[in-house]
Amino acid sequence: MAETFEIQIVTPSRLVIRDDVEEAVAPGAMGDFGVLPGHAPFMSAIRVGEIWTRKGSARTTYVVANGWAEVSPGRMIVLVEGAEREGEIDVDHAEEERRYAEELLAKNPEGPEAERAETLLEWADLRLTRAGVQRPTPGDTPTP
Amino acid sequence: MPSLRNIRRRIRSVQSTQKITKAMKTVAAAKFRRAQQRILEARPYARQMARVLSRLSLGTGTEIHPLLARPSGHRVEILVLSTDRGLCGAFNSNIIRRTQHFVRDREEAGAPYSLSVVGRKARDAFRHRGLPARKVWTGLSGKVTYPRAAEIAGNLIERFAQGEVDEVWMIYNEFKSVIQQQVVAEPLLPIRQLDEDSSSDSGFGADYLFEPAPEVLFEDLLPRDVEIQVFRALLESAASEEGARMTAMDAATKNAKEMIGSLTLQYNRARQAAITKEILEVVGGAEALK
Repeated sequence: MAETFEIQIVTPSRLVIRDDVEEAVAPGAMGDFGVLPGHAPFMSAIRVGEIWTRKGSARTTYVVANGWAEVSPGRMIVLVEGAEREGEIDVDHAEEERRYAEELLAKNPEGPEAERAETLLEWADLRLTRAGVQRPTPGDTPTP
Repeated sequence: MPSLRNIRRRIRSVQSTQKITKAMKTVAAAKFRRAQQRILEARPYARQMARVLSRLSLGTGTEIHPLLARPSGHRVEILVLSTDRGLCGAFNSNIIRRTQHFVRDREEAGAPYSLSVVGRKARDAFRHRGLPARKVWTGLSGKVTYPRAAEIAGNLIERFAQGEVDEVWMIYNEFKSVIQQQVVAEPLLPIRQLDEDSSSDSGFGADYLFEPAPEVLFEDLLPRDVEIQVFRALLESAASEEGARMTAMDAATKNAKEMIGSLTLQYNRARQAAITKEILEVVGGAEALK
């Protein structure tokens, strides 16, 4: 049995997952980072993107909104505004959020509300792309 | 004495009202359970956030952050959480009354205030009373989401950070139990005291690596603390609303039942009287023929 650590992905509306995994890769604010058991204590902001985890040969991907992650000995906690396992994406909700974000952006072309709307839009787009509903637009690769 | 047909019509009308209130009660009960569940599910996030924030605040110069600054004036922004739909007992009138008290106190102290309102009910009530709201959000009843809460919080934070107001308060129905809600007024901004976490066991040692720097991270996280407060209040208000509606509809159903009972009694009496009268007439007629 390979060494593992606990990962929790928590959103304001629920605990998405709590599991023991061997490896995780997350989209940090200053670049993607990988976590293996015994990683140094670490805190990072998280941007909209994908987190994947590996347990044995099983890989799971989660589509996440922005937030932050804390890595402490034996444990990794990810707090994000939204997260869904790939394959369980709520397409209707994502589309609704997308429409809402566009409206918000149209109403507030500048300022903090516009920033928020852009993040929402980015997340909704990523969800729709990963759910296979929307073709990714060229030059819009979520993980450079 | 109303005619038999009139009573029958009234009974039927009360019966159909009762069907509606009963259905509304069932729906409210289901929504209430979901709302209660959501409060529970929101806790881990809030707990983790509070833990990290208090730890981060220990290591950084917190007193300089604008969201923590002591107020220099008395301008108050009040966020009032009401509902879009009625038929939930005294839920909204309690909120409105509490807000008016709050506003009156401010006026007496000569402190200017402005209102931010969630829900159509409070908006209409304030408009009617000549207290126009600065900003209104509707369409949240039954579908509170974090992004929406964050948007409301963002608007208030912006106003506070720009120095347009010195304090932000929140007035909402705190969830106690199905039959009990309590209207509370809570300060939202400036952020008072970050909950000092006494359990310093899993130590946030000096050997932590931060990306970006802890100060930047802290500044990024502080607004989220406000967002969570708003989100939690919205969830509590939603659960309270359905609880209040359940209680109100239960009472309405009981009242309807009572009413049907007394109307049925009246109906039977009237019917009996009519029959007696008819018999008397027949007997009287027969007597006259003798």
